Amino acid sequence: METLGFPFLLSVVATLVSGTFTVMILRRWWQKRKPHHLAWGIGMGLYCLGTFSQVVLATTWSPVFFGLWYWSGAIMVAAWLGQGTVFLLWRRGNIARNIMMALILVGVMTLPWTLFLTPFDSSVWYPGADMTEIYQQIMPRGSGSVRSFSPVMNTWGTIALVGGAIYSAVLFRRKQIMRNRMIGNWLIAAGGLMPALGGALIRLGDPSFKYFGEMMGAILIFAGYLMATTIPAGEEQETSQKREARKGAQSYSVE
Amino acid sequence: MSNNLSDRPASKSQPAVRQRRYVIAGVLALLAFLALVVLDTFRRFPQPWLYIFLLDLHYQLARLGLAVALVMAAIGVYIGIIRKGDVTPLFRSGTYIVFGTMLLQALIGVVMYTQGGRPREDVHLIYGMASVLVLPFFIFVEVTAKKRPAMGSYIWGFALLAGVLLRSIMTGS
Repeated sequence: METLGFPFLLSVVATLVSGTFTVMILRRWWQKRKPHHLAWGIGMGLYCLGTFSQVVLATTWSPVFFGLWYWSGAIMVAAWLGQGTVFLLWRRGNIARNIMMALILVGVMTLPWTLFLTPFDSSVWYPGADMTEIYQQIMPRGSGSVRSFSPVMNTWGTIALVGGAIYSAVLFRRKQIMRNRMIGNWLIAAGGLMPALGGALIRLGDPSFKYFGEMMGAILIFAGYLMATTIPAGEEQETSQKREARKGAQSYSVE
Repeated sequence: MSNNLSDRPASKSQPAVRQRRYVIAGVLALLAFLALVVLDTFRRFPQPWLYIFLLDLHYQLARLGLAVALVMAAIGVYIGIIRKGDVTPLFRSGTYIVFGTMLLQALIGVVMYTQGGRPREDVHLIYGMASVLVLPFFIFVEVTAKKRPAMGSYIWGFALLAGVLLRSIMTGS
């Protein structure tokens, strides 16, 4: 029963939320075939994989799940979630597709590196262990370690996800349209910051927020996505009217 | 009434012929480089066994690959960013030759591994795999791109390839 502590519970909730979100968003991608849905679907799928590995690692030691936990949670998740925003906002040229290829390449490189070439010291693990407290001892940072990818990928992903969401929210606010999307984007930005904040606190020596941050991150991003994609019936009409009015004013000023 | 222009037999344009000559010259240069490496190995080791020969080839091809990747990235920057041009067929052919060279390099590495050779660090195998995978990813983006020009893909690709090759050289020997 010791293993079923608070971190375990938070991990289970985060797994369920991110798993549901993954299925929803991948279904939407299947229907609409938009690349940002695919990127977010992969990102949330990795989120789910990371938190599920955490659940497994709370009860038993498994080098495979530890490797998957680190690879998905510390290297890939933030970058893939950020990639969805890059697809949505960076439409010039093929930049978004090129970044995605670089992401796939890093993913293909770091997965076998983490799983097969990184030595893990399992002696520090115990049932119910908080992985964020002990992972540095399990996988010490050496020269050329896979851990050197983590800060780069997380910084890039967080900037893309949170920055993109804030940019969109400010844009909707300035144009006074789609209030739902504006609030949804604020929630996504807050959700993106939660795990990043947890990660930053771990580096500063306080890992207590990490599990809570992960769970809240999944919930807030999910809520934000639901809010941003649900547009009330009247608002769509109002938005198109505002657009038309703006277009009319522009053509009037040109004439 | 027939259209005189369409009735004419399709003649090969001058640039296409010139381009093919450049591609052939590139392949010949690569073969000459391989021959030089073989001769050098024979000069240093009168009776070289296969492993030393492969080791020399692997070592030299990595350095050649790094230099070519940097040159191709620079050409990509010149065509794509300075001249704002699109990918030329010649550039694409050059990319395929580099990819072929990387494939050959990986095959040599695999043969050396089966002969019992091991790199200085195990992660060299990961960089080796990445050096083969980099270019196809970006070739795919360029070939399927709806937005042109698409030289950016190759600038990314060759810059990444140079980084991967540098790390593989550092971890290999």
